[in-house]
Amino acid sequence: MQVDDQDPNLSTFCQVGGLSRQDQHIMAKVAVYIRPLLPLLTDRFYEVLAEEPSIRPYIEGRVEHLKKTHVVWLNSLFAGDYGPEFIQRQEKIGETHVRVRVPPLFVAASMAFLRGALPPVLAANIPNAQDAIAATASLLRLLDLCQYLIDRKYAEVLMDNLGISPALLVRLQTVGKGTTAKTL
Amino acid sequence: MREDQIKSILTDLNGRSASIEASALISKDGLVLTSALPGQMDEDRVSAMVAALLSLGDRTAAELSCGQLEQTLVTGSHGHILIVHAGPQAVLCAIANKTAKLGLLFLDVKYAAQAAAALLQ
Repeated sequence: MQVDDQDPNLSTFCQVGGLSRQDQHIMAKVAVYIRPLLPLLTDRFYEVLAEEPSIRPYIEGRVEHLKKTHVVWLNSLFAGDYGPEFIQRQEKIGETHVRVRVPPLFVAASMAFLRGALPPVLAANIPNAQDAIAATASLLRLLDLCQYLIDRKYAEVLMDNLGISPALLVRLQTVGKGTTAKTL
Repeated sequence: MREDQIKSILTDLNGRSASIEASALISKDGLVLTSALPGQMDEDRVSAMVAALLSLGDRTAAELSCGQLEQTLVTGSHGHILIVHAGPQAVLCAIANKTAKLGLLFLDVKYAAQAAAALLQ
């Protein structure tokens, strides 16, 4: 991983999560087997979304556009380049979700779908079993990374809209939940 | 030295009226700069919430075209919390009981905030 030294939280994520250059290598290596299958996976994904009443209003009338965007994003997971541009793309998604009012639930649910749907695709289509196992582990780490980056930016933008600085947000998150004695 | 001076501003403020029970000077990021709060209050919690309230007040005033925020007043069944800017980097919070005369409270807190802001510059 090309981790920004100025981003200690991301460094921690990569360190604990085990993201490394090995992930870049294996994802780029297996991309040739998986990329042709990604549009089909996106179709399945949007079929599932369309069946969910709470999500349908967010996608109605623009499914084809969203599918194209989703396939591009899925392809980026197999690009083997997870440097600053990759990170910025995830953050852009978080910013966009605040603007168009897509709640974090949808990101979590979408990632859960992919965590379930993609590993069997990798297992069935990567000829070398060891590569398939390694790529599955890398993919799951990358999905977690994407969710972290999207959700982090979502929270940052939302708080910024409310005038809450990152430092104040940390204070609000870390102060105890005990009752302040005085009742006003 | 400066902390003592700021502390004395808060002590003076608390002494101006029996209705003012506590006060604190807080950074915009929710850190306590100095406080004159009763011991049973958790100043970390109070300071973070106060800074957040003022930030929300700033955004709300701007959003509703009310101009620059002057103060945020929270009134409960037992008293008031008045929050004002004390310069660009700090917030003054005063807690008063229900007997407080609001006009006097606003003035006392405003002057205290101006004095604190001058010291923080």
